Amino acid sequence: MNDAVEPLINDEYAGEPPSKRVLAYLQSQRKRGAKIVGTYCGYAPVELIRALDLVPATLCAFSNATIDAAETVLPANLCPLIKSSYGFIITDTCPFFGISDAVVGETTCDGKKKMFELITDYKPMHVMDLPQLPDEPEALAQWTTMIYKLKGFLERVFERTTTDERIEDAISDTNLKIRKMNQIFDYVALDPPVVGWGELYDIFFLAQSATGREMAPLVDDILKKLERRRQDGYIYGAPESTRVMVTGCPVAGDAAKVFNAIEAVGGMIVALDACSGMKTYGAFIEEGTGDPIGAIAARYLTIPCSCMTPNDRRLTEMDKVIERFKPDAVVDVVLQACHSYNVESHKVGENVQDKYGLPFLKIVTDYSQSDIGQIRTRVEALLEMCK
Amino acid sequence: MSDYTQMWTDLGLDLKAHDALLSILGGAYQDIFLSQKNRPEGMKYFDFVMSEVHGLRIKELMDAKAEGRIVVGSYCVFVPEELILAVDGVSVGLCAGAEFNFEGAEEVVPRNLCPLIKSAFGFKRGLVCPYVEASDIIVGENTCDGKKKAYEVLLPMVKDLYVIDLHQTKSDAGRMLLKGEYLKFMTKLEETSGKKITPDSLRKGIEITNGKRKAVKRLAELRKADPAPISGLDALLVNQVFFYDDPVRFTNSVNALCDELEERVKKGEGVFPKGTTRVLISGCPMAVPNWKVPFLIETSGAVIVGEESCVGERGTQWLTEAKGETVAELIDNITERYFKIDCAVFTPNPSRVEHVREMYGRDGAQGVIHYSLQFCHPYIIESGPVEATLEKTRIPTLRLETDYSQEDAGQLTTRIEAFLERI
Repeated sequence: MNDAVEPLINDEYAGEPPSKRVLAYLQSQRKRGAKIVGTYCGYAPVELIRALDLVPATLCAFSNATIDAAETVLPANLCPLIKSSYGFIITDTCPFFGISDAVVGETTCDGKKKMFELITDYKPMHVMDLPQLPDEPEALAQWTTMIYKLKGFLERVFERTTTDERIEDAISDTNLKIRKMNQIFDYVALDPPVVGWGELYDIFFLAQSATGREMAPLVDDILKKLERRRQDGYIYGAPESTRVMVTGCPVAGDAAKVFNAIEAVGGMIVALDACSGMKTYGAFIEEGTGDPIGAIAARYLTIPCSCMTPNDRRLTEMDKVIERFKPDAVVDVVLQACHSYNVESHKVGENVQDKYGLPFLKIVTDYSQSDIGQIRTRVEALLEMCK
Repeated sequence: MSDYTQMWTDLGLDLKAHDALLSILGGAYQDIFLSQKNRPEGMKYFDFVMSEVHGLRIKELMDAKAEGRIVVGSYCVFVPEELILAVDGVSVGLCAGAEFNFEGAEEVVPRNLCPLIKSAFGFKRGLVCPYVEASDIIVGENTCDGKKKAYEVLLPMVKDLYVIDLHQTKSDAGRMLLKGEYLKFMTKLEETSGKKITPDSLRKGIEITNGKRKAVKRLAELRKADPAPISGLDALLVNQVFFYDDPVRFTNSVNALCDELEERVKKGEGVFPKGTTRVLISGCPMAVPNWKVPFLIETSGAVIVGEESCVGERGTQWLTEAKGETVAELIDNITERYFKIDCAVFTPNPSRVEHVREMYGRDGAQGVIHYSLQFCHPYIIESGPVEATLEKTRIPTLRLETDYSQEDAGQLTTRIEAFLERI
């Protein structure tokens, strides 16, 4: 990032890991008496959490440091995200988990599902049973039931209730956030780009916990800065950078080595097609249906996670991302031993190559830093194909 | 053995690769099974079945097809044979037990996937599994992540892939989902076979399937005896043939074997000396010809007295209630029966370890060897709590994780020997 431009979020956490800002936010919420609900996944219906005046917090899952501890119990052959999450818990080093008053999990993948069985004793915990065939007519009813069950769990643990009106209000707050985030994404789509992944992550992290209404003024300020950057002819990165879309597993923390490697060899990340990126903001929740929980269920079932089968929506949604952000190359990040993204990568590769003629690279990696050199070389070869 | 070349050619098999496969299998069978001492006479039938597993049995499938019956191939014990028999179909397990053509498999699925899944792709892409080629429907099921996603890749490679969705929790919603899936599967079978399932045909399907289960349950009971009247390898083979053979003939053959074993037990005869260390296997399925770990155990001075596995008691211990006047009632019975299966894909899955404990006591075992296929997350993760729970009640437990290669045989043997030393 060029020192000459003002950071998009210009506060005391600028330049620090984005988790610090969100932790400070959560602590300020706790001071006002709010209770925190820890989540691990984009399928956790945050609108319901908010409608109960609870604050969602994304739990730690992206550090290599806790993996050794995790491997004393979990198999080494497991995805680093799950090992890291578990390691944080048994070593009591995730501040977000520490301040969570309850934890919500989902049966997304085998690894998470079975890992959750090992952490049920730490905090009040609820695991939502996620359908695997989102397009079957039964799936919506099943998932709606699961959201009602979560509601029952949260109401029991926190001894409070909510109303349809408040859930409806939380939905419109989420939609506001989605609208605002997409205004930022319009600037990400610019060619040449005016913002990089690091600053986007500052915003993504904060938006995991902050409400749409809290985010809105901040985003308006960010938009002004982005517009100024555009008018001033500011370019993020080198002017001749190759535009890269990154898809696949969630990426942050130690896994962000892949982003750094892409930038180090002249790539510019213009689309973050993962749960840790833009995927959360891909669709609105329908408002005013009279059945807000049903509306939430319907929206969440359209999240194109590879745990779904068949997950054709991953490709159709990806098509939209490609058309909007116009990448020159696609990198599919698969966390080691994540079977579902790993198997699905074959289809993704075919889709982007056959349909868009885009060079495609699948990177299977973990949180260690030992393969950085290799990743750079492979990305370099990929970018070479774009010239 | 007759010449099946024409049949294999018609099925589109790669004859050269298939010959190579059969010759390796024949050699392994000789070394692992036929070299055992004092085998029951009744095993001769199973030796014959194995020698004709790609020959006569396939001819039978082709004859059945010529008579207008359908052949339904599957990879998992969640596919109800009762329903397949109710449309007069033939149910067969598909090849997934050997490291064959993994290079070909790894072109379409990741390298670090469980060997069972890779094997299925290796056989399919290498054109060496006559069962998959002869199947009118291939039935998949959403058990684990690997299989669920791999079926998406398999879809364009086979004639008719039908995937049954499965629940992930043992909840009422889960039970409803399973029932709905079985109703849909029933419709699928009716459409493909052109035959309507009636209460009578379904009851008959249930009775035939229960017959198989009762026979292998009888076999399991006989293994309580010390000395063990049959080796673990031979008992495993019976459980493997369960998936391939004609069900009625299989039942009769197992019962004949059991008659013989009863005599042995009465006379105090066995395949290993009285007092041989007795172990129980628990974990992932062992599909034909996956005999590696049992062979290593039984050549290390122990006898296997039970398998808590899908190719074993997890797949066969429950019967389906045959009472019911309507198809709907019988489907309820089938749902109840399959809902009990305690595969590690379910969360939580407490009944599995209870069953291990029960078998341990019943079979007079002295230790449990937990067997996981590499990269099988559900069983590998569950093995930790299983071991902890068993050890807490002083049941010695050894956790093994392996694939289909022979590379780790030496290392496994060392660990197995050390474990047997301990008990």
